[in-house]
Amino acid sequence: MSEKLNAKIPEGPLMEKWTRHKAAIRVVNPANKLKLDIIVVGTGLGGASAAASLGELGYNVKVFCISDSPRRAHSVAAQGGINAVKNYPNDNDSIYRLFHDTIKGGDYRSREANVYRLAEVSNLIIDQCVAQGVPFARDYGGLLDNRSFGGAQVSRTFYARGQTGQQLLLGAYASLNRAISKGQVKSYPRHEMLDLILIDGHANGIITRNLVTGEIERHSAHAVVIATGGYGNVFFLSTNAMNSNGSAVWQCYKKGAFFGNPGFEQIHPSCIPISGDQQSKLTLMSESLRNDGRVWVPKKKEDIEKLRNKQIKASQIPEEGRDYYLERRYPAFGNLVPRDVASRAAKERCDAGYGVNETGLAVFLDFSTAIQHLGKHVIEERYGNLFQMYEKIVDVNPYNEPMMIYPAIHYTMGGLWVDYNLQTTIPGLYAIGEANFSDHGGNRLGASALMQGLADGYFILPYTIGDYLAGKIQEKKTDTNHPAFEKAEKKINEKIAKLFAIKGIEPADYYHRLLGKIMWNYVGMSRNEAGLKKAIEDIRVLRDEFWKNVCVPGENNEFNQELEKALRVADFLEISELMAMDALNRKESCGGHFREEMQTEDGETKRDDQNFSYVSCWEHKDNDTHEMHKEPLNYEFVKLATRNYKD
Amino acid sequence: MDFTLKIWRQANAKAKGKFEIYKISNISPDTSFLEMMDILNDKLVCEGRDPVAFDHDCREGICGMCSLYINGHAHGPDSDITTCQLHMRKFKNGETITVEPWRSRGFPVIKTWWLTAALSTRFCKPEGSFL
Repeated sequence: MSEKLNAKIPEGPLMEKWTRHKAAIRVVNPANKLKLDIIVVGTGLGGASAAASLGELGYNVKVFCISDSPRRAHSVAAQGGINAVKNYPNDNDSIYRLFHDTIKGGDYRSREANVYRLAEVSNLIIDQCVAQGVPFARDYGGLLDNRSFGGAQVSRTFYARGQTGQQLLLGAYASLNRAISKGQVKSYPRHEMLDLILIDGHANGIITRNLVTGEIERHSAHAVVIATGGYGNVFFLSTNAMNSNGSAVWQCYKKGAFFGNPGFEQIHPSCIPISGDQQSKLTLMSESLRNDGRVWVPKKKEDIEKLRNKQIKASQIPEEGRDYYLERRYPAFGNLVPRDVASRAAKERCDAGYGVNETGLAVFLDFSTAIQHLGKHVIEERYGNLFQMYEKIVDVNPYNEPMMIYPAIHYTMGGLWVDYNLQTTIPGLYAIGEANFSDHGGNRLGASALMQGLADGYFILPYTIGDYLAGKIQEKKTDTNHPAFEKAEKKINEKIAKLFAIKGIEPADYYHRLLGKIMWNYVGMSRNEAGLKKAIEDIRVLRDEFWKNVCVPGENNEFNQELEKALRVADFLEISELMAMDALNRKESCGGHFREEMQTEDGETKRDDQNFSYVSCWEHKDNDTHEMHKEPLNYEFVKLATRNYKD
Repeated sequence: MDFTLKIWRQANAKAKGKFEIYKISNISPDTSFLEMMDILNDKLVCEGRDPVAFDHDCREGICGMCSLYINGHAHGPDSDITTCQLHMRKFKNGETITVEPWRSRGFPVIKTWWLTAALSTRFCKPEGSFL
């Protein structure tokens, strides 16, 4: 094990670790905070909450985002809700139960201490957000309402219709604006981080490109926080926003930060199916819909034929002709099995020829039972905006006919490796939210991404970063004329000049689409050794092609969206290879990582705890090679078991 | 489906803009408006011409970044949606579609320095409205 891989898990019983740790770490007094600068990159729930909290504490914060406003970050699109263990429904929920559900949902590949802390602070998030005025749904008596999400048998998900992420982000954004108006945070919209600056091995700044003017800028700080989300857009078609990218994370990796579990991706079971090859993104239909929606395909092949030829509508197929396959296969959890399980089950039915649309890649999500029981108005209240969204995109009214859904790339559990303090292997460099690897193992449970982003930003990082910064109070601000800045800026200018100089024949999107196809076919829902090896070869060929033939029009010193894309695609063409290498190395199936060679008789994931109970931590080496180290996962409190959602 | 696109192009905030005409064909009715613009842009890049710049991000109607003024309506002819949720099935085959930036002081066309002789549309806004 690399000596850099010290997870710094505090000693003691699970439920006391965070309390003890908080008491043991150093704090910075108010006068000294004023002398310390922090850079936060990204303004989703993680970045916005962190920047707001650090600003309120009195640090000098610079916050960067690629959009015109921090509130565009893709957390805004999260729909279903956020988990917490208030136990308001009195259904026997507890910190331990959320902790255990998360560990189990992640197929026993996440770190116990981190996950327990996440469950522990979950209730604080709800209190904080209610105080901000986030309009969580309430029941008739005025109490906060809950609904259910996959992988849990209790109702612990707080929500604001199908727009929970938007409302939480507006809350965090309001807090951030307060800190900006106080002068504690300076906001840099339309700025993209292109490199990390290391001085004596410590993170001391970043290089950005002003997306409006093209200017390359230098920013120094005593610590840098990466909150730029995941790299799911490697697949081109995903539920991510078009501008979401992996470049900041990748530049940190190339500067020496280890990458944890790059091959762990989440494929969300309920997305609007692909309609054709002109498509640019896939739209999510929230997991919360599975509270009231039932997933099915017809039992008879002749009904499938008729559906595909549009001779019948789904609503005309009688109850006895429907196979509610999740309820059939997983009686205990039914339609609310975790995402990886639901995705594979949909794929299994479609591969067997039961896909319900022309492409054969869709299943039904049906609300007729719920509408019958509860009335249309209740369904409208719960999911109105999602139903409208579906109708606008597909041109079918889901109150009358079931939705058609199919799995799509949604989230990356992998990310920068961090210790218990959320610090990467580079001192002074922190990673929070989806950008780190730490809490979700092989599969993230629904409504837990919002929880993690806000837990990290509001309640964990503001404490743990103090322990590092307490040692920096004597340190002067880094001069941006330092040779490290000079060198990094020169390298970026050369890279940009090289892209313009190619003057090739294909736009960046062309390569991005091709990369997406390679990834979906070989590094997607189902993986095997031969396919992964082929993916690595194909990616290398495509990368060479890109650097020979991409066409980037225009100039650097202007608003140039093609240049932005080309820089991001260049990084995706490297990240993808590491993802495939990691998936190839892990010869077991766990969570969303399904190796065909490792499955049970009924097609479920088969883990190999003997050989793979570790976090794969990749280190970038010279000549763009990658070396893997292992962080063993020592389960002190949970007994490893085969995931069972059947009984 | 085939369309004629009449697009406002302006090099920067101060430059004088004008409409340019583009033809586009083989567009599926299920393609979204912005996907149609992607296809146009890819074509322009391949032909060595300057693509049309437009803001967009989530492409599912929630982030509020897209902001086109289409056929005289903010976000185009459909109701209760943003531009990114508009689909080509809402237009007639062969129709001429006029695309402009929002002409509003609150949403200025972005200022850029456009060094080549070519014209380019540059419309973006700083802080947008809530949905």
